[in-house]
Amino acid sequence: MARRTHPSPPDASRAARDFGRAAGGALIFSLPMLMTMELWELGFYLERVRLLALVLSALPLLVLLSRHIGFERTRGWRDDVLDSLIALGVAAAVCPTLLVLFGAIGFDTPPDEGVGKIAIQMVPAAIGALLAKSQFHAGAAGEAVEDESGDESGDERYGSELFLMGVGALFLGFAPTEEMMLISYRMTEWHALALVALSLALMHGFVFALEFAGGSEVSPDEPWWSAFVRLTLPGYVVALAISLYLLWIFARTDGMDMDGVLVATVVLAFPSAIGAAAARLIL
Amino acid sequence: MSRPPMSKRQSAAARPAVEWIVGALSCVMLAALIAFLLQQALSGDASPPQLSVAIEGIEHAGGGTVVRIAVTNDGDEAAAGVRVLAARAGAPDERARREIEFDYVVGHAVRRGAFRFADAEIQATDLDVGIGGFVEP
Repeated sequence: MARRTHPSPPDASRAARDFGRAAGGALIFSLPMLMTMELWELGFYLERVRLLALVLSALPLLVLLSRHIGFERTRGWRDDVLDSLIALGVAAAVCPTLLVLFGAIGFDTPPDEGVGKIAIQMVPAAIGALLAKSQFHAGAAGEAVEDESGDESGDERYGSELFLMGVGALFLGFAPTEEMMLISYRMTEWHALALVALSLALMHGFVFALEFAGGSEVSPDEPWWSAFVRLTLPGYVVALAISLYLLWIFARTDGMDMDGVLVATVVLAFPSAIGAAAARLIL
Repeated sequence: MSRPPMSKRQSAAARPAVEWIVGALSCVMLAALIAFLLQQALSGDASPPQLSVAIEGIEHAGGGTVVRIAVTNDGDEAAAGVRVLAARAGAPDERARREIEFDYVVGHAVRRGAFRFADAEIQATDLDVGIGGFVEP
């Protein structure tokens, strides 16, 4: 795993700066969802067991994300857990504030409904808070960024690559709205097959464009199928898995047969696949 | 002395085995997805929505009656704006009629809903339920 630099002693201004960065990241990544009515509604009708699954599955994801790309240099797993909890705390401050400002939550909102609305929004907001480092921190003048991949083995780097693809897929696929389902209802299996082909082609285009631009996972000496088999196909399967998980979390698979579920998964996997392939740009 | 460039085969083979194993597993899973969709696509024309409604249960609560229903679509195509009607058998009074609408009922899917009547004495045999109509998505 990457060697981490030792942070300077914490002080009030540093804490305020880090909190500001995290809040900014939370805002950028969750604002479209905070302003989507369907996600407010999901907050009160979604089964609580699914909501719990979403929040519980977000915790290890945030810890791993902090390990890879947190908003502060961390020294170990304990720091990563702490950073993840801070990110959730920031999200827990940002989301209710905006939901109250938007009138989605008020004094007359039942606690169960309010908590549900906030819990759904907290996951993308917390991811945004952690990713604030890559958006704001890494490019900040005067702050050297260590090449974290230097000490990683090939297997660890590959696993890290797939993990970040998963985060990218989660980011762009997080809101399986009614429109997403309507698209799948209107599609035939032929449309779905064509969408699979287009998703793979676009993903592979991103993989090549981004990896050749500065990454280390694809060499110009390799044949095209090498990167396709090692990166594009696993990345698309990750996008499919994340899409299926999100469809289940948001109760979109209820009462549907396997054919319907798979077509809906392929539809949601289209933006997820773009997110997975563009993870290097997003993250 | 400069090293000669690696051939394409050598370069690809130099990758860690785990990358090829994950790639191969992904290939199998994607092939299964494509095979399933192809099989469904080649199995013939999709049949239009075939909708039916059934009463799943009746609950007497709060001085009224809640009639739980399930709408099933045995066709392949999805139906939108599915209107389900319920009325007390032989009652001409408009107050004895109810209507609910489902946004979508996908092919081979089941959607559930409920009617509420103010009368606490309603039984399943007192009710006529049916599909009022639907539109294409």
